[in-house]
Amino acid sequence: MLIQQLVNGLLLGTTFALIALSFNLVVGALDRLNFALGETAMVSAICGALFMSQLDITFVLAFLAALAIGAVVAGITFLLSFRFVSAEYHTAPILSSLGVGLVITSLVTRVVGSDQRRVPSVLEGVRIEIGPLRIVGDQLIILSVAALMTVLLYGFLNRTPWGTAIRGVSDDPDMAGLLGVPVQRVILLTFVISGTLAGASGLLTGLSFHTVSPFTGFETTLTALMVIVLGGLGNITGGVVAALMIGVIETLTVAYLSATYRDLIVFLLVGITLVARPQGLFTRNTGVVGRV
Amino acid sequence: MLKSGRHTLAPEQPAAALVSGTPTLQVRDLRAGYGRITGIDGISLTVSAGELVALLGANGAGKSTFLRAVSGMIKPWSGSVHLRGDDVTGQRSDRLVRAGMAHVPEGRRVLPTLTVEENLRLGAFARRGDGDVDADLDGVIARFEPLRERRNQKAGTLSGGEQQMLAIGRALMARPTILLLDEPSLGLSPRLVGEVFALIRDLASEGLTILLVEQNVKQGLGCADRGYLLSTGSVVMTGSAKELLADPAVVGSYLGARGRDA
Repeated sequence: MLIQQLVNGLLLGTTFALIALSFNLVVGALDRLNFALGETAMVSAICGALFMSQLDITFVLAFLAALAIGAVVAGITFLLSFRFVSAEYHTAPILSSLGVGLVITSLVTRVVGSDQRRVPSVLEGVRIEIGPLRIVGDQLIILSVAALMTVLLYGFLNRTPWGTAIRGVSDDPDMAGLLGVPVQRVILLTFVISGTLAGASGLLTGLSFHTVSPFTGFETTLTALMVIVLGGLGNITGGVVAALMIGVIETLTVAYLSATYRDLIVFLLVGITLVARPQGLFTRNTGVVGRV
Repeated sequence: MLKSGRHTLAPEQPAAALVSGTPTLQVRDLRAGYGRITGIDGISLTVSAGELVALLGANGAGKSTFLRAVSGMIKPWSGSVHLRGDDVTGQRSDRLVRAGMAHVPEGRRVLPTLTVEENLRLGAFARRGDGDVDADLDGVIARFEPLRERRNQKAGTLSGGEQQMLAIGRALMARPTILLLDEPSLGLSPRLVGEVFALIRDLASEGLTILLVEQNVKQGLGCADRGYLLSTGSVVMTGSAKELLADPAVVGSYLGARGRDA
């Protein structure tokens, strides 16, 4: 039973990991948080769910559409809330991206209504049983897609010129510019990739709960913030580990204590971390305070 | 340490520029600063192809501000910058790199979380995909031999001298027409300072056009063809390196001011 809960927790954690990666990429590129990413995940998930139920397209196509929508929305968010906001005003992008998030939620409820949407099961007959452990088709998809996207992202960041440029801009944007890197284009690219990950996270989370709601955007942002604070702001690997941890902790809390304690325990954990290790669990950087 | 395997540079000087005498870098009456504080107040300067020009002055004279305004890190308020005859005033840094200008800023600024090789390759970002990048990488590593064994090490873990090699090597990866060097000797031990200047002389003798910013007047003029002396944002004296070194005023005011240096 415990093993089953651990696996469920890791599965939940993989979707958190995607959204945490999404946030951390932007933190790396700009030292700013994009507070509209939760809503970006939501709008991708709603559209994916609608495409599957209304247009009757396959999950694969709906998923690709969700990625594309996430990418476009994040690109637009960059142009609206970051690109032309002066770097002098550190808090301005927080407000402007929060605003974009609100606009996304209102647009979605206005256009497609405020109903929850069903996300049908994929690979319905598939089920793997190892002893007491049971993994159904949806979980298999979530796990493999999330893992694949994480691996692809790592490969892209570490093995390609544009990925190296993203890390270079994250280290020192002015210097990257002096080396011939078109900094603003690299930042736009970072937002687009970040939106793709948010879109993936949105639809995969929808798949795990079989439902998506237009009002979960900010909740997603909040969860992602907990994860990236725990893992160390901007620390890609730390974020992934923290996401898996929080997934397991939430699942175990629901299973063995009570669902009402779920968020409480996570917030407590993050609170304690902030007091004891303000730079996060896995980071060598100067810390949260210096980076936001 | 810095001197090692010879790797000849092939600076791309269009024949036309050499014939007509169009300067590689021509700056006219450049003004720039931060906020309302004027950093440089009308500086004009010329660097011809193949020249090594030193820009000298004490702390706060505006040397770095000048380089920053030339290389697109800050927008100049007025004046103009021409690179091989093309007006590039106020252009973004990455465009200037494409146009042939490489700027090694003060403090080296290696990208600490990238490996040595990634730093070098990023220096060739504007010409990625061009098949010569690998060859140039080998060339730079042959020139800066100590970087070879640190190739896959994070640049932030290098010593000051190694970081300076990396910073210069990285700039060479762009195959620049002109190299702007901002205080390359800053913070290095006297032995390494000597090696850095030897390296600069080597680069110049291979035909690279260099604008060198230095606080150390003697060392700077020692390897330069010509020099400009800056004080509080303006050029106060210019001439051949020999003339300047022989001028008692230079020796008096600038060598005297050396005591305050970092």
